[in-house]
Amino acid sequence: MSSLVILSLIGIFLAYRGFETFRSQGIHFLTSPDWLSETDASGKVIYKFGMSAMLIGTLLISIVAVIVGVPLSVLAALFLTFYAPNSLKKFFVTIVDVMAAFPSILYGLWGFFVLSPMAEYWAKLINKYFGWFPAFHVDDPSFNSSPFIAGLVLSIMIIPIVTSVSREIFSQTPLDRIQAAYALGATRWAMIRTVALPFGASGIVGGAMLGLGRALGETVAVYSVLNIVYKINWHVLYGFGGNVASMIVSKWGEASFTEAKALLAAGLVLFIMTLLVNMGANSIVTRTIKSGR
Amino acid sequence: MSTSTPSVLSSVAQNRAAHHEANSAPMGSGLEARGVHAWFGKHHALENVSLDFNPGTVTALIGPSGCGKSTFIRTLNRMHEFIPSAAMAGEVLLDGKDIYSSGIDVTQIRLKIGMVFQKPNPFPSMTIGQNVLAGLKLAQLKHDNKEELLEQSLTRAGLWNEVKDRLDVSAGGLSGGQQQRLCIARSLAVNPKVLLMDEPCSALDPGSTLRIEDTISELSKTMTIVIVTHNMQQAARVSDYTAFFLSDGGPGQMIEVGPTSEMFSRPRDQRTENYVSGRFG
Amino acid sequence: MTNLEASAVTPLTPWKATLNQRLFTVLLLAVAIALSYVVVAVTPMKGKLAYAFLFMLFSVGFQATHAGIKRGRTAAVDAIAGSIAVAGAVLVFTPVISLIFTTIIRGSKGLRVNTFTQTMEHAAMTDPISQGGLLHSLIGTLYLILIATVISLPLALLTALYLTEIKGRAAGFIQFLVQAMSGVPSIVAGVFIYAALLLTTSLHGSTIMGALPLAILMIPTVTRTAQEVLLLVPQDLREAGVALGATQWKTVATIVVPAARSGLITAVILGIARIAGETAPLLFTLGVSDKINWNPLNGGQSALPYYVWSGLGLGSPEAIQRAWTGILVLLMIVLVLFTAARILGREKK
Repeated sequence: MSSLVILSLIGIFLAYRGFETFRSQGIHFLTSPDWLSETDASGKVIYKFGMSAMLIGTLLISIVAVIVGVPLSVLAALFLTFYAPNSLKKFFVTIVDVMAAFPSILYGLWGFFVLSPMAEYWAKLINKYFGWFPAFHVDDPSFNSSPFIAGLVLSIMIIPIVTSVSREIFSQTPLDRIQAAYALGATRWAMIRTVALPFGASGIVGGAMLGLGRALGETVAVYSVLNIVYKINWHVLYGFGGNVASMIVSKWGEASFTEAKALLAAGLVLFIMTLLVNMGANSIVTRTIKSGR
Repeated sequence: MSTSTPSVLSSVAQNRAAHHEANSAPMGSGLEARGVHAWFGKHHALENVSLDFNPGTVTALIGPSGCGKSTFIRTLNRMHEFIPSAAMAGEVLLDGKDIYSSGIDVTQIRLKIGMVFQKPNPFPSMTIGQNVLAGLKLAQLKHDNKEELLEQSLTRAGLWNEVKDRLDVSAGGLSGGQQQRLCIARSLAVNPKVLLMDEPCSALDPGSTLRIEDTISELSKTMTIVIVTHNMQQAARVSDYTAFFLSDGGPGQMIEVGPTSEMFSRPRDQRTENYVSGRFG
Repeated sequence: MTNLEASAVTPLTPWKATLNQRLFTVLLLAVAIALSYVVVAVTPMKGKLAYAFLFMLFSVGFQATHAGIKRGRTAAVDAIAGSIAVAGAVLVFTPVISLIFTTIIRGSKGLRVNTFTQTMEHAAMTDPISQGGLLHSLIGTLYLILIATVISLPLALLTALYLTEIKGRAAGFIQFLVQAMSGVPSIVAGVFIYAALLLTTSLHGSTIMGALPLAILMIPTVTRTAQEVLLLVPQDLREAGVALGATQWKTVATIVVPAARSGLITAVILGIARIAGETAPLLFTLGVSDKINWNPLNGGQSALPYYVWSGLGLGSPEAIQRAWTGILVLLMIVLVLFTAARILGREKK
């Protein structure tokens, strides 16, 4: 009914605005790293907009968030389902749900003032021992406000979603299979390994994708901890970067009319990305819960 | 005490006793329950059950629903304790040692005392072959010849001929009776001394039921079997000894135990007599 | 045979860890702590990370070895896995505790009476805390919530009713749309409203403009929760209504909705909690204001998240302090809403 209208309105308008920019830029909009307007010899202003720096930055930060956040969430979900004493379970579950309600700017503030100093130290350690790995290399020792730190903050933000979904899936592990494993002399970990994890695997993937969808579009938390510079940066420990959302915000204040439309086009791309990821995630999760596999 | 009512069951039981010689050199293990009680929270579910299971025999536990048979059998392999707020009292001795004493490794106990459940529960993410050997994988046991163990276990469970060509197929494609025999094979692969069976045939068709009963008779030559059953004909067909459980609204108790043929023809307790002659339950 | 003295038997739980076993575990942990200190003192390792890492290493190592000696390899692996699960849980809960405590400690430093009674009309964010306050932001946030709720509640409720009661042919598609909508990033909602309404018209940022993206974000949350709640209403109630001769709509309006009332209120509260802390969309659509603006259609407005955001952006100690205080107030609001939703949710069950 009305939601249909609204959602299609979002798509239509962004598409309309965005296409104007697409037309003038072509596919380069997605692949070029430049974002500038320059005046050529005759005084005409030429616009060159490319969002590849945004896309790569988004990818980098989200990968860090998922790599750190998903294993922690799965461990916490396993703990809550199979290890936690009944009396404490409700308390822990409430805490995870409360996490989901925190405003993202709180994560931004905390991330900047509390986590950043510690994360900077960890980044130095990683660079010291693993700097041979290309992504962990830095050109000069500037570890502050890096994509790594932004990724860490995001990982904490996605934990509630991934943990909730994982926990729900694990708690549906069929009891008869669990009993069969124990009756064969399994330890708790052996049971988890052979029954719970295979059962929950696809659901966890769905949950991870939901977390990814959340991470892709995060704005203020990233903007608060990351040194936003519009340049491609693959070195995750090195102190600058950005993602689509934060770069839109950073350029918004001084954007000319044309540039604003380009930023809207970037917003459209972000919308499509998160839409695809969320659609995939939802279909996986609902399929898993339905099949009871 | 009771005027014996000749019943069909007693003749079936006597038939079995005649054909089935008690083992002189059983490979089973002595399992004894001494004064076992069980609670769920405050609810006293089972009261003071003492029962000896002789090696190489089949003991049937009969009685109406809800009188503690399944609870009792789960105290024998320490599955009862998985229920939150579960509690127990008494001893269960395997080869003379109490399986509840502190310092006992419960996973080892469950390797020696196996269990087959009412609803067949093969692991769907594994093939037939992997299911049978799952016990080894779970307990990280080594075995020199896994194929031999696989064939042996499936043969003992009466399933080998039907699945020998499709060991790599997922276990979910088998019929109910086949799945249950697969579960039996799975339990056998870890070489238990005692096999507990909680109404193993109640979800199966009569054909599968009879095949599993044959399996039970074969298995009893080398191990001790305890089977909970609602089906008195099955108890008469399959068991050497029968124990009758009853609850009068309070905790379940074991009323009487004896050789199966006697339990069905000349039970000592009137309540047993009433049950086996079908007056209730 | 029955035994009358059976009532004297005490229920035991021999599978649970005995006191001695627990004490032994505590001892192992204490040794692990001590050993961590020793290693840190002797080697070049330093810092909290070193202590945490060493403690983990030693405590897991001791417990695994102990289990391994007593019960073999599988028990050792089980002990390690258990410790890792606990470690994961601790790592997840530590930031939450830190978030709450940091906010309370830092935010409360800036709490004054004038925080709640004054606006920033006559003070700058960089002025000392004794001047100015966040009253305008607080009112702005409440105003935004009000307008967003007024817009989204009817839409969300009607959509939920359509999906649960009517189940028309479009239901599958609409369900899918609602799910897709719930994944829209907040910045996209803000950017969309900007593109649709502000870019090419003469409209400027105002309260109602700010409320629109919030409504977009709120609708899917309210719809989904409302759906769940409506599905819980027993079918017999509906059948009773229809049997009495009422049309479907009348049944729904007079029987079903009131029956689900507390659950629907929960749905709205959850929706409000979702949008109360949103910052990004407001950056595009709210405009700015340092005083209270009662006109929803004209003129910029402030809101708590924006207050925090601007404080953070300015960077001076006073501005940062205002940011912390602002986030404390915002967090309190969100937690109150969350608790209210929980309590209501439990009552109806």
